[in-house]
Amino acid sequence: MESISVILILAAIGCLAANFAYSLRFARNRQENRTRTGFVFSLLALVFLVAEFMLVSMVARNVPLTSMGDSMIFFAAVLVAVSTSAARVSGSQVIWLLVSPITIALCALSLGADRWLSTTAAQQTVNSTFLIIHVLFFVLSYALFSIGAAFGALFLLQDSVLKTKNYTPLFFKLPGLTKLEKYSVRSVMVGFILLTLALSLAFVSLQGAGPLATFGSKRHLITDATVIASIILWVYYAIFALLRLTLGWTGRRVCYLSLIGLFVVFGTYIFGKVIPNRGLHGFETPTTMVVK
Amino acid sequence: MIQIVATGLNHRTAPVDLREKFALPEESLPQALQLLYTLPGVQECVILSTCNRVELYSVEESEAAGERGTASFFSEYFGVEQSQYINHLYRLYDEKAARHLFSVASSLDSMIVGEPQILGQVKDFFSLAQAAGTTGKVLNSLFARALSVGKRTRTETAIGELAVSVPYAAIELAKKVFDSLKGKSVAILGRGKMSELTCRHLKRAGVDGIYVVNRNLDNAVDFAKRVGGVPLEYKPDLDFLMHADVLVCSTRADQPLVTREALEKIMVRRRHRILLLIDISVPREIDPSVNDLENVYLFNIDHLQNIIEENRTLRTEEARKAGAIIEDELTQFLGWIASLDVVPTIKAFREHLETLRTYEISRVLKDFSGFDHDQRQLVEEFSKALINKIGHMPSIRLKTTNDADEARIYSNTLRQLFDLEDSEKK
Repeated sequence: MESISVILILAAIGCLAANFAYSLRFARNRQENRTRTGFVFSLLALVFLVAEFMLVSMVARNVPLTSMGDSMIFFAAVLVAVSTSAARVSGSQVIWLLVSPITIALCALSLGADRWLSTTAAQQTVNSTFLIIHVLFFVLSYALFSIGAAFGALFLLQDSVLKTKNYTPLFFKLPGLTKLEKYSVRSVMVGFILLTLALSLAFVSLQGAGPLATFGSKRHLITDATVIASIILWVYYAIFALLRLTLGWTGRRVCYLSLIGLFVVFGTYIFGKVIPNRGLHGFETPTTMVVK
Repeated sequence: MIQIVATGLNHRTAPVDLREKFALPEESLPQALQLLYTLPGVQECVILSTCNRVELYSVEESEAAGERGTASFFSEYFGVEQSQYINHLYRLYDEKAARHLFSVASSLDSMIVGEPQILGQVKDFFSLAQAAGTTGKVLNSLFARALSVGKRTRTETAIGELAVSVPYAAIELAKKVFDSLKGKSVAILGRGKMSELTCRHLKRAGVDGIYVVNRNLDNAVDFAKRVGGVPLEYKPDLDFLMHADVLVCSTRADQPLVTREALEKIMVRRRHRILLLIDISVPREIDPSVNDLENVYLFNIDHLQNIIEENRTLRTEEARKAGAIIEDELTQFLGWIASLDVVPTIKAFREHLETLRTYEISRVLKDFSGFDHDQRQLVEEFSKALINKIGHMPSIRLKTTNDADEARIYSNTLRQLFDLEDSEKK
C-alpha cells in the first residue's frame, strides 16, 4: 500500500512537471492558443493526489491533518484543484508556471516527511464534522492565498513589460492588468473569509466544548504553534483587506502585498508544522507511525 | 472543355486612378453580371468589386472566346478604352485562378494581410451572383471552398489577430491593460484624422464614454458631434482625466499638454486608478516621465510601431500557414474538377465496351444455337463481368486523380486508344 501511495505521488509530480513544461512552451510561443493539454495534465495530477488521499483515509483510517506529509499532499491537491479552475476561468495557462513548482515541492517534500500517522487522537477527530470543515477551510484559504500571489506575480510581470516596453511572447499571452489584479484580490479576499470562518469555527467549537475539548483548553492558545501561525496569517490578510477596502490600494501595491502573502502563508504553514504543538494541535505528535 | 478563368486588376497591378474607373456600385451589379453572362463562351460568372480589386470569375468553354468576351466586358461596361487597362489586366486559368481566389478570400492578397473585411465581401458578391442566376455547379463549388478557406485561415492561424495599424495597436495595448474596453471611458486630446480613427476603433471595441478635449471648446463640439462624444475644454489641471481610463493625444502644442506634476495630482484624486496614455502626436505632448508614475502607462508612436513591426513579422509566418491551407483545399478542389472533366470520357468508354460486348455476344450466340436459356444467361453474365473488370481500373484511375493535367492526359489517351470520339459521332 505504501508503494502504491508513493507511485501515486510520483505520478502526480510527473503530471505537474509536464504541465509546467507545457506552460513554458505555451508562454514562449505567441501563436499557441490551445490550453487543453495543460488542463488534462492538471486534472490527471488532481486525480492522482485525490487517489492518494483516499488511500490514506481508507487504509490507514486516517485524516490528512495528523502528519506533515499527508497534510502537504492534501494542500497540494486543493491547490491543484483551485488552480485548475482559476486557470480555466481567467484563461491564464501561464499561472501553472508559478503553481506547478509549489505543488511539485509540496509533493516531493511530503515523500520525505512523516506520513500515514495513526494516533488514537487522530481517529477521534475523524468523527468531528466541525474539525473537518475547520481543516478544509484552512487549506482552501491557503490555496486561495497562493493563487492570489500567483496572479499578483503575473500582474507585476505584465506591469514591468508595460513600463519598459520590452515585449515578450508572454506579454501577449497574459490577460490584461485589471483582470490579473481582480483575480489576485478576489482570491485573497475569499481566502481571508475562509480563514476567518475556519478560525471562528475553531473558537466556537472550543467554547461549546465538543469533541475538541479532549485536546485541550483555552490556556493552550499561547503554547500552540499552529494557532499562533494562523493568527499571524489572519492579521496579515486583515491588514491587506483594510488597505484595499479603506485606503483603496490598487495595482502594484496590492499585488506586492498578495505576493508577500505567499511567504507569510508558507512561513506560518511550516512554523505551525515544524514547531511541536503543546496545545490544541498536540495530537499531531505521532504515537504510531506507518510510513516515514 | 471547360475552364475556370479569373480576369481582373487589383492594387498590385493597377494604380488607384485606374481602379476607380472600374468601381462597381452594388445596385448595378445584377446588370453587369447579366452582360458578362451573355458574352460568348461564358457559362458561369461572379464579379468581385472592392476598393482594391475588380475581378471577374468565369467558367468558359474555350480560352479564345472568353478572352474576347471579358476584354470587351471591361471596355463595354465601364466605357474605358482597352489600351488604358490591358497592361494592368491579369488573366489566370484553372489552378492559378482557383488559388488566386483562395488567396483573396483568406486575405493573403489584401493590401493589409489578415484584414477581416474581404471574406465578407467575397461572400456578398457570390450571393449576388447566385441571386442573379449566373453561377453553376463549378463556381458554386469554387466559391463555397474559397469561403471555407477564408474561415479556416482565420480559425487555424493567428493571421487576423495581429494588429498592424496604429489604432489597432493602441487597442491591443489597451486590452493588455484593461482586458476589456467595455464600460471604459476615453478622452481624446486633439482632433486630427488619427484621433478620429483611433476613436472609432475604440468605440467599436466597446468603449462606453468618449470625451473630446480641446483648448477651444467650439472645435471640441464639432469633433464630438462627429464621433458621438462629449466636448470638454482642456485645462492644465487635467480635470478631464477624472473619469477617463484612456487618454489618446494627437495634437500639436508648444508645451507638453500633460505634465508630470499635473498628472501626479490627478492620480491622487483618481485614487491611483489605472490610466493608459497613448501619445501619437509628434512632437510628443505628454511628458515621458509620467510613465514612472504608479498605475500610469504611457505609449508613444514609436512604442506602437514596435508592436506593429513585430506583428507584421508574425503575420508573414501565419501567411505561410495559410498558404498550406490554401494548397490543401486547392488539391481537393482540383480533384473534384478533374472528376468533372473525365465523366464524359468514362461514360463513352463504358458505352464503347457495352457496344462491343453486345455485338460479340449476339455473334457468338448465333453460332451456338443449341444453347438453352440458362447457358445463354451464363454467357451474358460472363461477358458483363468481363467488361466490368476491364473497365473498372481505368475508370477508377480517371476518377481519383487529383491532378487536372494528369486527368486530361488519361482522358485523351483513353479516347484515342479506343477511338471514343469517333464512336460517339457514330
